[in-house]
Amino acid sequence: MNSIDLIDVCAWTGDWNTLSVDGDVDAVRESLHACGVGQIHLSSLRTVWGHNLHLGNIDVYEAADRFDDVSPVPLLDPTLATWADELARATQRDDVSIVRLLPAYSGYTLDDQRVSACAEAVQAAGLILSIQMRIEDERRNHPKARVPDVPFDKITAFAHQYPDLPVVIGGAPWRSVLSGAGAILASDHIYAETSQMDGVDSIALIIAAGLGERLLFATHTPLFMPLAGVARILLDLSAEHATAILGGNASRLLNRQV
Amino acid sequence: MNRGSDLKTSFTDLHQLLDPGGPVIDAHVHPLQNFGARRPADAAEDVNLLRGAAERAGVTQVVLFSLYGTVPRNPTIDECREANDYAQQMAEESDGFFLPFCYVTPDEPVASADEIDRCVGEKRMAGVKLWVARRATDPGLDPILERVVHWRVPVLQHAWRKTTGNLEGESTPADVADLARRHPEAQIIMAHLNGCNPRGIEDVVDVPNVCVDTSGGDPESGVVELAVERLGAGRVVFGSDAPIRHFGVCLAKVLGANLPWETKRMILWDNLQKRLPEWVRTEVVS
Repeated sequence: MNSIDLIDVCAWTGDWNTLSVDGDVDAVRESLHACGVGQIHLSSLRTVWGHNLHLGNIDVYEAADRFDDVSPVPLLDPTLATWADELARATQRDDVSIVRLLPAYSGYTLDDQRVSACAEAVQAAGLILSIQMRIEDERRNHPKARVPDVPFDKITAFAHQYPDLPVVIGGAPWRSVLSGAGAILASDHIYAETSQMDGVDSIALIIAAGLGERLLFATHTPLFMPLAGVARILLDLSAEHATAILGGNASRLLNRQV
Repeated sequence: MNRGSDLKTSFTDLHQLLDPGGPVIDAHVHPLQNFGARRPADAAEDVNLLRGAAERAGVTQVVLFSLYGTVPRNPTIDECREANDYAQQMAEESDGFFLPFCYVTPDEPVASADEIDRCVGEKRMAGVKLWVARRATDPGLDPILERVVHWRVPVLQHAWRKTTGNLEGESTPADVADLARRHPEAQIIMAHLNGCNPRGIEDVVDVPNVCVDTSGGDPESGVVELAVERLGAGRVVFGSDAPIRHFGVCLAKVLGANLPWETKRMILWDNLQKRLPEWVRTEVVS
């Protein structure tokens, strides 16, 4: 048996406003294990709609303390006065590799000077920065809670300012990634996760555009069904490309020399 | 630090998770010519590429409707005819893998009724597809539904509840319920379960001649289970909306659902087969 290691760079715990999901850590782990995922990079949904995004991070720290297969991905809001303290809290742990920004939900744009200061600090800490383009298709938002996507080109332009900071674009639709392939390839530190890439042959085309080593497997569990995240990679790609995207690329990124 | 468990898996294990364990009919597919990331040179190439993508996911039969090559916002009846000829050509070149539905426009109800007679009556297409020219509450749909009932074929009606706002003429699930009540003998497939969302499911709960296809939107957790709970297992059919969506991703919505295996088989095959006309129906297997 040729074993492969599945690394999910974007899973969540908690509930969501428009979906009733089982976001308990145990349930999330169980659903991912059933799909063969052995390494789970987990963020908390609990305070995405709250006034202080950081309050939910305790959920993933506690989960990581309980389970070796969980790596916390704390959420940072650079417009909160205490973002540097929250980052310091992350760097004091040895199990945090990725921190995540949710600009659209926290209500800022990437040209905000506070975001620049935060990115520089994340870079100095040797961490990976994930920037979430979307959590949910805007057409599916609650009508009283509309959240437009962060423009893909704004994320790549932002990433280009920090060539030593690995940036993972979260939740990008496949057409955005394909049309932005040149911007990703222009630098060697920009990646995209696969959780919201859909459509026949979409990932195959993205690979054909040269991004095979820049794609990272993600499921968006529990909002999305993890088996769907596996299917889009497994069914259409060569074993070599599938192995890389399901875990090889992430392993290389996570274990890079800082 | 790179953490992780000792959990190991293999490609064989993963492929087994995605094995539907029997035949699968997809109620909602368009030619690559309409929406494909790769545009085929002709219908024969469309057959090869689209069928290949479906079969890689385990889909064994596909309901196909063309919306005309350029997918015009308001197609003419001539464009509908051309689209139907393309779908028919794909069906003929696929040995029955593709089951064509007749695409018509409520903007031209009388001509559309004639086109249904041509496609269903003469060519033995398997059903009718309506798009967004007029909302399903519009009386312009009535002559079309009368032909649907006459030929005893299902009709697939587009529906969405877009927070960003539906297009002019684009139906909501409530509109579909209105159509179904006006034509209680018609078998209506309401498209886009995930696009209709849990609120839209409620709109059709008490309209038994409406079933819903599982297409539309992302593979959100719990939505297929909710549809089964609210509508019953017999009123949910598998649909992907490929090539806009990925066959395997959409199939995983059903395979990964917390439902009995028998229910999944109903969704993947039996429920749609029962609604197809006898000239294309395959024996129910579950």
